[in-house]
Amino acid sequence: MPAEEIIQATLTGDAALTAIVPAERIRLRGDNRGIPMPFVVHGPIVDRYEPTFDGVGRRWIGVYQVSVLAKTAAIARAAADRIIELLGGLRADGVNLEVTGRTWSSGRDPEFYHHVAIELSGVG
Amino acid sequence: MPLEFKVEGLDDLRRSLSAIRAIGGDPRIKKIAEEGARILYRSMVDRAPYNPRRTRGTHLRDAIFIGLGPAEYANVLVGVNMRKAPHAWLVEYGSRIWSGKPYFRPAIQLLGEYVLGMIQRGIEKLLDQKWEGKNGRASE
Repeated sequence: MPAEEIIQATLTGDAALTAIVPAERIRLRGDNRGIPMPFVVHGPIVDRYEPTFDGVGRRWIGVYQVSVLAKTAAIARAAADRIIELLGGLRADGVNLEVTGRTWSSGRDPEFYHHVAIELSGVG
Repeated sequence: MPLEFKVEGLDDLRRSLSAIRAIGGDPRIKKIAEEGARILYRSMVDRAPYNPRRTRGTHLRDAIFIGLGPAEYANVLVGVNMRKAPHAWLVEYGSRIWSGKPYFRPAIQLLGEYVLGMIQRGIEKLLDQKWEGKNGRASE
């Protein structure tokens, strides 16, 4: 199962996270217009397939970004902390990811938002 | 009972350290680093979204730069001028309305190791040349 599906299942299946961000607002990266805040979008930024000795090949993920967007810093922080707890050291069904970074930004587009970008890397 | 130690290779070590010291201010190191930076720069420029119909502001690709810095320092910088392109961050990380189109991290992730290897090989070649020179062999 690719990392996207496992991450989606992990995030939407967690009661603590879905209490902050409803499951239907956890999606793959794309057009964010129309999604009410808070929401989470995730997807690979850098990946490639590498050959292995057994000839099967594996997917190397250089950067996988999970973005939390919320109106308030408290909600963004709470959701980000929970996501890091869930995905930090994720090992399931051929997926092995580690959290490598977390960046915080804010903007107005058109309404004010906080954006926490969590970066992971590994195999998946 | 007295113990005797014989250490071999000290002359080689001394010559190697002397070669490292000798290439310290060599302008060719900067040139090697610059070649590596050009590879990253090209990759970032190619990945940066470009709208030919844009008439205001700076295109993101035109805000990506290579900073060479002072000649005596053997480092170069590849970056984005945020004054020219304040939207660079939003393109890389995404925003409220879209998920962005990363151009910086992919270049570093996919080419970083290759560029580091290139710089390493270039410096090793310089060291070899200096080392051979100190051993009385042909030196460039």
